[in-house]
Amino acid sequence: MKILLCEDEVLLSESIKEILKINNFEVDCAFDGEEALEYFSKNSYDVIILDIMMPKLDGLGVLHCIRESGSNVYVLILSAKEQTEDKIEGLEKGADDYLAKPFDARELLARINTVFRRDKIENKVIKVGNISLDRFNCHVQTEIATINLSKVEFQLLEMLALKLNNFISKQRIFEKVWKNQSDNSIVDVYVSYLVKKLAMLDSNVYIVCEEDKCMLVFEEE
Amino acid sequence: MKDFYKDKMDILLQTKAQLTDYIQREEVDDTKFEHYKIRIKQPSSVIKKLKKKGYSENLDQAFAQLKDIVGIRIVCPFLSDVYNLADSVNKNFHVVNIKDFIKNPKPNGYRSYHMIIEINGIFAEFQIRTISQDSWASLEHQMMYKKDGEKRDLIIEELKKCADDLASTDLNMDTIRDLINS
Repeated sequence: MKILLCEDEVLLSESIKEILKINNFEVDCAFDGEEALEYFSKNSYDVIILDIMMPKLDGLGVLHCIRESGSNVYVLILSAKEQTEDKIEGLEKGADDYLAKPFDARELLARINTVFRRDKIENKVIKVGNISLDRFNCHVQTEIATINLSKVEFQLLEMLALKLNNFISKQRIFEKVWKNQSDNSIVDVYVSYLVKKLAMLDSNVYIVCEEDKCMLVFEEE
Repeated sequence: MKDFYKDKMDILLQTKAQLTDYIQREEVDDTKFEHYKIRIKQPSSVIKKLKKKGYSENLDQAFAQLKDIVGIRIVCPFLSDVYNLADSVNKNFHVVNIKDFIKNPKPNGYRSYHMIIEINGIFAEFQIRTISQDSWASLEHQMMYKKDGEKRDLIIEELKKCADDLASTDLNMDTIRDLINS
């Protein structure tokens, strides 16, 4: 797990670096905005910790360049600017979290750990009935066979699996999976794809549809 | 070939003709298939397979142990065509064994529907599959020879992923056809 720490106060930077290293993170340190962007362009980070007031280019400028590049790397602003307005500005300009100085090192660590915890949850295999949904490989599997799914098929099946035995409205599925793009009758097409795939796998969970809602059903024998 | 199969040659040719008749008739009956291939196993392949399975290399053993001396492979556009054709084979022949490698793919990802029938006192094999299953099988067959030591596992795994992708696409195409027909 690799972190870029952008902090111009040398002593503070060193102490944060030390804490992170003890907790098994790999850390690069930048001491001004331009150096931060140089590190960012040459490396791949899981988290960027960003001070706002830095020489050459301030933290918000760095943040702007990071987001302009298309990167969605997790950015945590660590700043002495502690007013609500400052926090809102940072978050609205693309930061994922904001921690005001002075701060407790344990809180910083807890916040960084949420990022990695989310990664772990996101790559977990979901098991319902005799099928498993593997997020990393984007496939659905039983003991006898594996069928790869498109990203959209996977999101749809995952959404149904996480609400097993409960109806979800097709409108809600359309909003969440298709983000309201395309035509909402697309939901029925993709449900049909999945129905056929689950049947091919001899799955003991199956999709039940009514006019405007769907559910993944599992009945214990 | 005649030197090898001797007095059994006539029965093989007769079987081949009967199966060819059947499949051409099936086409008229509106069961869709894209193309088919029928063959009598080459003597060299018979010897090779007997050797591999540890049987003695004579004609009696060949007819007793090998169920695919006459083999027909039928390639269909859609998955449901495969199962429809399998139903027809069941009705028209004495089927002695079925292996549904579509529902139960081989560990390498191979998918196809295999049926052994008994006909004219010998066995013959039907292999029925979709176009994409057939294209995977032929590519996999070609690449088998090129798998070198170091990357072998990676190649096997990637080929399996292709098979699992194609399986997904086959099912989607089948669903789309249902949509068109509904």
